[in-house]
Amino acid sequence: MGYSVPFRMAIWLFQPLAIGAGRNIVGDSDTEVYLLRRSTLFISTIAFIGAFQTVDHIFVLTQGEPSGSSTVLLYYLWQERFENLDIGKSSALTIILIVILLIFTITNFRITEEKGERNA
Amino acid sequence: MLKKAFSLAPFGRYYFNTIFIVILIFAVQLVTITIGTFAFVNYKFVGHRVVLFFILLQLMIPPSALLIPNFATIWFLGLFNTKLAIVLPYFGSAFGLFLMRQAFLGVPKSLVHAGIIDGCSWWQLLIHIYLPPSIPILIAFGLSSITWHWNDFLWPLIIINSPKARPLTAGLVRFTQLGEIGARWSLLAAATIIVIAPLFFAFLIFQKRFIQCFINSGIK
Repeated sequence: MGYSVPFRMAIWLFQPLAIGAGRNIVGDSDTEVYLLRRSTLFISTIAFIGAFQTVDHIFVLTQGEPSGSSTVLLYYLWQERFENLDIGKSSALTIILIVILLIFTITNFRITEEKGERNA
Repeated sequence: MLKKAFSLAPFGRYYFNTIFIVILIFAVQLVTITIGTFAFVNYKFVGHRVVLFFILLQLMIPPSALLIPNFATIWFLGLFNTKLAIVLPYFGSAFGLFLMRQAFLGVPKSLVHAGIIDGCSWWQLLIHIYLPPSIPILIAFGLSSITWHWNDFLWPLIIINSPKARPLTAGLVRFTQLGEIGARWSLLAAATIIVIAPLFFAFLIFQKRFIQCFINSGIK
């Protein structure tokens, strides 16, 4: 997570101002969010996916206690696969995890990207 | 204490392996991500959205789920216990492609059209028009890729059996399991310093240059 800053800085700093043509650029927070939408798309997607993948703390700190309330999807998947040895359920959980992330990513792309700017 | 730590495990060999692995991965990733994103950004082909999300799928799969299938593939290819086995799964980086895509989309389309009118071939478009504004992003990606693969622990531990191909992280673990260490934490700390020192000093030396590079390229 700590690498977001150089990426955001790098993408923002070379963003051409021509994108904001026609708007009042100086001090306009809407334009700034608009100019940052590419790096924001990247960082939000990576951060969201990364949040789903962090189970190390749960392994070390709580092991899903108290009574399953700190169990996240990936930890539940591990429990089903390696403790309860339910391979079918863990495979289904993997598919569900990927589908959730895919839906979020596609929605993010749809919302952030404009119509004409993707391809030549 | 450092001399003692050096004498108990072949850290020179581990250094060479780690540097080789990191440089090889970064070099191949540079080529694959720039050419791959160029294909996505410059051309509009049937199913480009589907292929893009298929590539992003690599990010979404939990990496621990890929360990055993990767191991089976490497075993089937007969590459077990080689440096090529460590680098092979990382050659195509979806993270890098995504990052480069956001960078290439920031190049104004008018510039690209001007290049096409001037008669640029595809590789000239890539080198002269798409790449120059994206250099700071490539540097940022390089930073994250190099540190990540320098510190990558689980995959090399699984796939490597002997010191001839073992990188520093796995070497440190094997070092801690040696019988001669006992509970001497000073030896362990010395070994850890051996592992993290190059990145640490590289960061200290280059941090100002990296920030300068980001800042200077933004002011056109």
